[in-house]
Amino acid sequence: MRLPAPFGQRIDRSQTLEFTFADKRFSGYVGDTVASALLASGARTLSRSFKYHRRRGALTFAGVDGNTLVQIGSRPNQRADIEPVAAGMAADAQNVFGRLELDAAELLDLCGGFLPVGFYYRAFYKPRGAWKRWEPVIRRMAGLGRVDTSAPHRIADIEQAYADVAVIGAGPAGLRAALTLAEAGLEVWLVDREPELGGSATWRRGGSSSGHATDVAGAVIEENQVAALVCAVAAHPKIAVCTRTTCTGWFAENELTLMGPKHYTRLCARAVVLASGELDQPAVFRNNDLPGILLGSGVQRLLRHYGVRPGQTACVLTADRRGYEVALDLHDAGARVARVIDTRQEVDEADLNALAAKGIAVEIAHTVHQANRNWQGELRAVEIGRFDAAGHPRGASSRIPCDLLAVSAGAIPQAQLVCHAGGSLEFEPGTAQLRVVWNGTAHNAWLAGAVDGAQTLDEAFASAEVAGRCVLRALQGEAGPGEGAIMAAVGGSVVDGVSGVGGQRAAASPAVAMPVPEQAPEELPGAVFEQAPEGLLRGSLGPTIFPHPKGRDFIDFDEDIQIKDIARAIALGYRDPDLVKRFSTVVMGQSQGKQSALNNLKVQAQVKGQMLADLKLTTQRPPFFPEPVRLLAGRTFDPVRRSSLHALHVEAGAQMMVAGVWMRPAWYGPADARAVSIAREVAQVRNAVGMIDVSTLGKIDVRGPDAVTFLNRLYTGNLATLAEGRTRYIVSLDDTGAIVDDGVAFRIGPEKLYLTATTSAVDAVYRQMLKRKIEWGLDVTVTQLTGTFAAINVAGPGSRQVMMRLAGTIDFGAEAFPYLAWRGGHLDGVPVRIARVGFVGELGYEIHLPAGAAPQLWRALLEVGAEFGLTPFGVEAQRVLRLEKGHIIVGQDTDGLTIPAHANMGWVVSRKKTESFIGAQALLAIEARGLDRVLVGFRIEGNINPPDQNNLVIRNGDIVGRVTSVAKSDTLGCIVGLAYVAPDQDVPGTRFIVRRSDGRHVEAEVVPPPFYDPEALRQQV
Amino acid sequence: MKTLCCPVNGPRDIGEFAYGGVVAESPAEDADTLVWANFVFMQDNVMGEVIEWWLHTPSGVWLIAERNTRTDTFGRVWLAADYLREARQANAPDAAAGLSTLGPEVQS
Repeated sequence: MRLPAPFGQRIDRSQTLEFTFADKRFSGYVGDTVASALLASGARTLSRSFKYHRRRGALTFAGVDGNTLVQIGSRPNQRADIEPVAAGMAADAQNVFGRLELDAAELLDLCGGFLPVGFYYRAFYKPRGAWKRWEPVIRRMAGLGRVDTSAPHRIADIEQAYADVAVIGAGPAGLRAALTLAEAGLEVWLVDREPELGGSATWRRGGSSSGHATDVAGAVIEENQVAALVCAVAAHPKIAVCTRTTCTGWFAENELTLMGPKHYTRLCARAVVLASGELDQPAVFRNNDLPGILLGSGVQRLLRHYGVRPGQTACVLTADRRGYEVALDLHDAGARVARVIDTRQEVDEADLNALAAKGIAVEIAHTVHQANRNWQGELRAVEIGRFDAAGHPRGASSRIPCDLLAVSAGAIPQAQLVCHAGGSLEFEPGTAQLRVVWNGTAHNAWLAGAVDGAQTLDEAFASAEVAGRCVLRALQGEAGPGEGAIMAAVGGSVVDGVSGVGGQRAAASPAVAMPVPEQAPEELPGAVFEQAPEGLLRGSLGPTIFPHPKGRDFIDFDEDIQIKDIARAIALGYRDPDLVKRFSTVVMGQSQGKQSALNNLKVQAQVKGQMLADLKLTTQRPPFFPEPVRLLAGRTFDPVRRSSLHALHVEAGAQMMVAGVWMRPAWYGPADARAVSIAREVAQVRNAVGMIDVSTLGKIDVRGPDAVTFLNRLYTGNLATLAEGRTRYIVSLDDTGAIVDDGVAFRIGPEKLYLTATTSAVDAVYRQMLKRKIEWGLDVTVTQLTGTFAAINVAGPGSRQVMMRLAGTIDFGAEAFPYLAWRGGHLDGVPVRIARVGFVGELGYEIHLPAGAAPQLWRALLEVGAEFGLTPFGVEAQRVLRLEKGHIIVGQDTDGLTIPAHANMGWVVSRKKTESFIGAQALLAIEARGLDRVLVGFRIEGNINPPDQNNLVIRNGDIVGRVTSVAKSDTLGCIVGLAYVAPDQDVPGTRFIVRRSDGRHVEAEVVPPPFYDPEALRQQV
Repeated sequence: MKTLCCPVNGPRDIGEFAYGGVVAESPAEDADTLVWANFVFMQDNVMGEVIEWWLHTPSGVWLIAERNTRTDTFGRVWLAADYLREARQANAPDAAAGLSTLGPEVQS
């Protein structure tokens, strides 16, 4: 039912729009949410509950409960109470079998006894394998929305922003703090989830825009106080206002994640003021989840924001003064308020008078024990009565028909964000009231308003004033007053790093000092829960937990957790609240405990006979509100490096592949001609000449008096014996003796070496070198030249002729430039260092040259090489060529446990040098223990499918090793590869079994590598 | 945004830094295998103040920083060479005893 203005500030009554929900047509106004439009039409059921498929309706109307999840088009799990309705929108109910009104799974509610808490952890695991059959059934039963995999892909960028101060929450406190700080010259971001500024003032009785100028007790609120603040804030140039934006996380050094409707922002703020307000709490009684039962604040939001009165005959269940505000609001909105049921023993006389003046009856020390359903499963009546210390019914009860029950069972600080940042919520000693424990100075972040404990507008402004001055002092140094002065000014104190909220507020508003009810504990309802009367801070708070022998007294609506479920979890031995949470899933649902955390602890305290103050709330983690992956994904940045020859490769038709951070040619030729192209390139290198771009090799210059000592401690070999003009294969290990990198060292001069490292490891090698240089205190300079130099490897029987065709200063004669030597000079006018290497097993020259000159030389080589058949070859051909030579690739043929002896490379370790190298001690220890595996070469004859990399080597049913590299070699006419086998199988001619990916066993024969040209005659010519 | 104050580059985003392990001097080359095994494989995983290697990757500057692993906050920061020089001077004349942060089992 719609109310006339001033109710319904958010809606535009001149514009109606049509939409559908669960295949039925509805209409609403522009400004409505899905749920407000539905409630205006009298549709109260929005969803079915997770486990028992009970009907659920709107609860908080603040988007913080899980009752309102609906599917909207391709978007699952949208909250109907905050999701704006749009013309033509198709919304649908979730977790429903059949129709929303007639859910086949509703029967589950009748057989709930067979579905005890934690049942899926315990019931479906026997017999063995049963879970596999049950899981899909359970997942279907328990699932929420549907993911539309055909939904269009959109890119949402993530914004990185910086501000002096972020103010979270644009209620009265947030507004005041933002304005104070902006007026002091700071750049302020003001963030709020709601579409407008004003926070609770937009819906609470006594708020500025409500049209009601008095609060419960009749105190006159200056009507325009907040409205004026809203105008000033909106107009202030220093304040960036972000409405409809949720702060979802508070990370190190005040980095906040802000989720707006369209994009995500990471805001780094020098200081933070958190004015996030508080969360209204539900009471626990039988059928407390029926549609028609809303939180008091939810009712107020509906009235003032959307002009919707969600019922005709209302009851109000309250444990504090808030229920009185709600009752008066409902009365003003034309509802018949049948009864206000107050669980407190003592009530303020003025509050009673305010209701009496309107003819509203109040029952003190009563509660709702049970809500009754109509045939539709929605609220029809409540049964009320007195209760005993455990919350059970005492004496007669009466039944009051109503179609709306507003519940106000106290509020807790909305402190999730502060908990992300390291704060905590603790119970005020002797009460069931939570307060925030937080060291503002340590984080440059302060609380303001209700989250700081403020109850009235004046208190909220005072609290914001303090927070604002603390920020100013922190950011502007001596300009602001000291913390002591601030606290003195408001009459508070700082105790043990907890900002003295109670003290501040008491001074700001003397009216807050509530009388302590003087009752004997045994007479006090709820005494089992709390040691002393609740609520010294927020006004006394009555009991809120009323167990029912027939159950359905829900603590957690998201997961259908009842009082008995918590009791059962504890009986099964889960004592710690965090364990009870994991087992029962309480507070783990969509609302993340926003309505259940406090009631859950109260029940646990009762079951365990503990004091509330001894229990801790379960850990709060980001995000505060679900974040769509759509927003988080942002844009992907996968930067790749290109060698200076990249354009030439593409021009030549190369298929480029990603190798580490680099793009490299895989082969030259069409994408669908992989095997043919690789075979052609291999044959070309073996029979004529080819060249490959090896610019991606890591390149490091090491020089200085201690250069050789330095490298002898990093690498296994002895570089003291490496003569100038020569190169040597080098291997480095980590502290555990495992091979981490290999490369080639060029001896340039007595104190100067030039090294190559593997493409993927060079950055780690370089960092390690910089660190060791400092650690060892050696006089050496290390420079990385990976990007500075390009490198081209010319290989094949014709390579010498090709090199000699180029004009230059280097003598390529076999004697002048022998195998494993390097020569410097000029080639085609370009300064070069050329090494004779044999990675692919043919006569070959590796040319290192300035990267910028590489295209020129590459073209020159192609030109002069044409008559010898020179063609470029790619990484794939190189892999085959090196495997035919039995050369290992670190990281492919070695793993994190491979020492040189495992790889049959014990020869790389110098036992004679004076320096000890990294990993030397580990090698001794491992070798003393004996090797457990060895890398061998193998050959498989016959025309069969080769095994794959990582296929297992099997002996007598046991795994003894694995294949690390394998290729079909056209050169050799058989399959060759490298594999780890048991040490005793390392005898040429031994046959071993490899289990192929298809499960077949194939026999391989151990052949000592190199498979091709074992005497190395071809590379040493 | 987590920041670390590099002595050369000033306060920078932690994403620019690479972790280099807790500062600990290697045992003597001829130390017992067990001592080495302890050094290589056993990490104390201290809750509280630790002294660690950090590398500012864009500039290649190695630093040594105090960090509280409980609060995840950084304390003092040194250039690595400065820190090691001071630590070794402080430990002289017994240079082999290593740094002050070493556990007793590796100081033998």
